[in-house]
Amino acid sequence: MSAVPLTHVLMLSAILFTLGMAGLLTRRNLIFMLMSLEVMFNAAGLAFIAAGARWGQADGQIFFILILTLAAAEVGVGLGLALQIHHRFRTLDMDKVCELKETEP
Amino acid sequence: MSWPLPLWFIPALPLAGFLLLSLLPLSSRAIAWIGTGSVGLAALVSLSEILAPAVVIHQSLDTWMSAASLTIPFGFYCDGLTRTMLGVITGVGFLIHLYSTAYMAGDEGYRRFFAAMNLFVAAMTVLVLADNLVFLYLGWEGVGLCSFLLIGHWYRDPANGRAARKAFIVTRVGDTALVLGLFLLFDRLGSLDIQTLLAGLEPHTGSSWLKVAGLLLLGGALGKSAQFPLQVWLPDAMAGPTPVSALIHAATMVTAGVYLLARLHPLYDLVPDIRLLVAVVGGVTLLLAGCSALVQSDLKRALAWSTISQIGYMFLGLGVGAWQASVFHLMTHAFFKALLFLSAGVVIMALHHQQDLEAMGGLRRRLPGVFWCFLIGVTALAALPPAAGFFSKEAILDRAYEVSPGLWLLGIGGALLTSLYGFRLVLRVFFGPEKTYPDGQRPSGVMMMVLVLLSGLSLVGGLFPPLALAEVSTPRMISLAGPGVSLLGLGVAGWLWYLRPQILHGWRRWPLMAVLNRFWLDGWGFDSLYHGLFVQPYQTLSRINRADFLNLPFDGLVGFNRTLHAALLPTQNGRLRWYATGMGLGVAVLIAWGLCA
Repeated sequence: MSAVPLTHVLMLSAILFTLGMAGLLTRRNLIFMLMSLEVMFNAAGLAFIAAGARWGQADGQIFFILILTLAAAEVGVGLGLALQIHHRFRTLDMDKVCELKETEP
Repeated sequence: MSWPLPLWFIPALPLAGFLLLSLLPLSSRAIAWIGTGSVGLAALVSLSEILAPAVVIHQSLDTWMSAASLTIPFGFYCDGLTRTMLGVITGVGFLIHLYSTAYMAGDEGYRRFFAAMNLFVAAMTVLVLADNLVFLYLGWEGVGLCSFLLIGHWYRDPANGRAARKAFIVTRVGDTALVLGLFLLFDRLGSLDIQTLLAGLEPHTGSSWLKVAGLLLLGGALGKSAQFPLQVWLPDAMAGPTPVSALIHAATMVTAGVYLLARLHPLYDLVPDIRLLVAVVGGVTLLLAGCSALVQSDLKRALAWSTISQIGYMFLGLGVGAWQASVFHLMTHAFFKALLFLSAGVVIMALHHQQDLEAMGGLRRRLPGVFWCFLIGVTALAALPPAAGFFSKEAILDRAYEVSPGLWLLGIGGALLTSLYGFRLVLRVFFGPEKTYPDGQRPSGVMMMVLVLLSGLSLVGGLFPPLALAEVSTPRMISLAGPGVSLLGLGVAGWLWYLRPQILHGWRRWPLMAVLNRFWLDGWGFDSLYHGLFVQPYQTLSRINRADFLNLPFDGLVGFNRTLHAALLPTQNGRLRWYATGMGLGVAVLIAWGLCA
């Protein structure tokens, strides 16, 4: 069984991260922004797995599990926020939810 | 505890009264008891001190401040001069407090009034008990503060606030001179303890800095005692309640300058030029104020000018080296001037707070008790024997005659004026046709009791000179001049204001007399002079510098920050994606930088 070269995995991870980032920056809907975040998390996770395999150590996989739990917690909080935002502003468009800004004194 | 009690009890008791009164919400009955009681107890302690064997007591409570060679203790010093002052302050002070319990009854600031009065007595006793000039200065400023607070007691009238500020600022001019004098003395002698200081003066006789120090200390005394050229504040200070005028602006605080010069008299003995200046200032003031008192139409203002004039006598006495006589006059003046003010207070109260002489007249039949008290007060003021003022004023005039007949003439001229304006007040208030029916508040028993006690003191106080007068002078023909001109004044006053009032009406039509009347009424135009000389230029300067150019650098700093703030404001737009972009770009830049480096 021939191993997948590390560069390929890292490139995939970079592409995934960039896609997630692009989604986060271009999407205005909060749900999609959260989904893009998940993609970025997974890209980071993939890089950890690959690096762990490269060095033959379990640390990478441990970190991936940490990222999974983190992502789950983040989604829990994020969706809760999404519900509250929708409840208050009747929209999920994050460009419209911009009350927390400095105004001219 | 040993008897007599330690000296610090005397200021501590009124101070405790002040603290109680200012911190606790009390009923008016409790306020009267605490306010009067604390001063009464202080008077008892002072009395025990006065009756004790006349030895010099020097007690030190604690160190106030200590830095390098300067050590200022809370030190108390008590000799004959201090005992006299203590007797006047706590004794007359107690009587005036007692009077105030009735006079100020129902006033909304009753508690505030007694708190400030107690603080005043505490500060004044500190002033006379202090063994060093810094501690004395503490009392000096303390009485100035209380004077300010009490002149502005009825603060809702802006005129009263203005009078209070005027008094404070004008006396501050003198106080600044005084503190400069202290610096100079400390610089040259290395001590501010009064006795050490006076003992160390001898080798410096004739040095010019001693003259400067004498001048600066005299400046402080002039401000506090309302002497020429700083006399302008006292007539306006009559805006305060009448007991305040009696206690602070007649009997005690305004004589602090006399006390200071009497306490430091060895210093002035070494600088005869400055001492002569003191006498001249006193002589000028007593004539100037006497003329002004002659034409005042407000009862209290007339008494204020009379106070200035009488303190002029004390300065004259100090200037001719008769400091004991000056302190004697200070004591008798405290008795009869407090009596005059408190009697005036009863008259004013009975006429519904009317102070204008025009509205008074014929009150002799309606207020006979007050009439007799006021008459005794004026007799003492005019130095007619056997009232108290006669002995003290004679002692000053006698010495003045020995030093310089010119100064004596000033004093005799002043005596004529004193008798004229004194009996003018009696005749205009208590004689002549009745103009206003006195149906206001009648004097209470307590008030009348105080008046009677003060009348007694004004009558017999002259028989007990407080200090051994330098030498009992032999009777001379010249000594008859004082009572002589006083009787002359009485006669002229009776003729002008009682028998032939039409003469005065005739004089009013002369333009020169009208101008002179106006001029004296305004206190020789000093108010407008100072207004033009100091107040207006200051106001013009402050108007020109309204933008305050010294503030420009700081305003510039603020402006710079505001511009920066406005420039960065758009970045805080609340948009989540904008922030995320910023973070992404930042990370990208950092990584790129890391890769390149």
